Amino acid sequence: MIYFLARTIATVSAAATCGSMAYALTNEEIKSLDSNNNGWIEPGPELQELATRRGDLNRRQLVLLIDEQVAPTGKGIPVDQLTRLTIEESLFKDNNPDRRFFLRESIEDVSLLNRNRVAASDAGASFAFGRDNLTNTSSWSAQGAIAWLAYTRPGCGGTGKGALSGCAFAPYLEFQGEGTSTEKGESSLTFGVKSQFEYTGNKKVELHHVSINPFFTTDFDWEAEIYGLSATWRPISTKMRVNAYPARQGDAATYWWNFYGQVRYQNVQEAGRTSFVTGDEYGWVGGHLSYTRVMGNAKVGQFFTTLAYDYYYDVANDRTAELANAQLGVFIDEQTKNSVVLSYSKGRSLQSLTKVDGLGLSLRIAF
Amino acid sequence: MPLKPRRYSTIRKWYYRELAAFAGIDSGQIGKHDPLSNYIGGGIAAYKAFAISLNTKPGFSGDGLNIRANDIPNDTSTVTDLMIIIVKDYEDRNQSVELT
Repeated sequence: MIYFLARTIATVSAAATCGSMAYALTNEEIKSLDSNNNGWIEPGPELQELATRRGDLNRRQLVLLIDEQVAPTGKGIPVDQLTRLTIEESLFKDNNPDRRFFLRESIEDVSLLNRNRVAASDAGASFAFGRDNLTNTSSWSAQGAIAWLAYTRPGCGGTGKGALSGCAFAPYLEFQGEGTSTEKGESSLTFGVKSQFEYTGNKKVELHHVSINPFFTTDFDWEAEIYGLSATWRPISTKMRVNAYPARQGDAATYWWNFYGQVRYQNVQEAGRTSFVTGDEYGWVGGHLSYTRVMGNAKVGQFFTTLAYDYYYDVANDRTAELANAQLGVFIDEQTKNSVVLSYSKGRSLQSLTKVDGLGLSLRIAF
Repeated sequence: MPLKPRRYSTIRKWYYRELAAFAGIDSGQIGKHDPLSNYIGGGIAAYKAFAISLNTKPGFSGDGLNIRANDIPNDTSTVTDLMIIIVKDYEDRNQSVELT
């Protein structure tokens, strides 16, 4: 069977317009000025070179430069001060609702807040179509989530450690299904509202995203009737590259982790074309962990690999839903947003408890 | 009517003067890359209180400095980080800072 898998990713490219976010001079460029690699832009050629790039510096970098010129310490400027971005500097700037439409692999991949910081970890929706001329059958599969940001309020609780620094609400539609021209497969169609709250953390884990999603699930024939509620915790650490990396243009993005924990309750009134059981209640506890590695700097023609694992335990029925996924991809554009990916999945998805076991070649497109 | 431009070195001098007075030291003893907490004590509350108090200090009050609690980052920031916030406040109020 010829099997084509098209995967689309919608990433957010909120423009960094304010001075403190306009990283015209990348961290790699800053570090390259440190010719003896001692962590300081020292007086002399290093500082002079930085001064010649004055027009490319953001406010933080410019103040550090001017301060050193006004009151020289004799040691210069620490590189980590020039490359550092405090979370508060970006906190409210990233929460700009300039993009309200999202398409992702699952609703858990939709980050309504601080999208610039977590976009790297987002996975795109996948749509597949296959045709087997020997048996004269067509097959299809689809998985994704569409969300529309209805309301966001950055800084709704202030700043400081543990403060509620943002909140947003988005109705969403999540879909997953597969089938052939001769046989209906399993499917699920979920309508819900994603309520996302963002709390500031500490130096290591800068942000915490907590999402609470009430939802209703049916299937593509509108036969299933499932009510549920999920709560998800997603830590964000640029330092540890968990659910984010310092996504500044020109930086090498060599690896990042994606992780979240979740509890999910489902009450199945009618199972329909899902693999749930009518009349059952499910209480899932689990989460998602994935690791993406770029073989060198992220650039066109560069390969990357992703390994992902989902594990959920149903405390109400003593059963598990596990899903493993491995990907090998190559970037096909300079912005490293688009790629071709060979992926293999095996296990059982949580959305419909549908069994998954397949290899596919995917085209992942970012826009 | 546009506000009078202010030299960076002048703002810095005012800021270091107040920080030194608060810490009971000479302004020359302040390290620009030191954690601010070295001079004003730890905690976001202390950081906010000190930063907001600058609004009423000589020089800054005449310029209309208007630092608010929400402008303050976490309590691990350096002395220069607060300088950056002060410069930002000047720019936000359309009072230019001559970076000399």
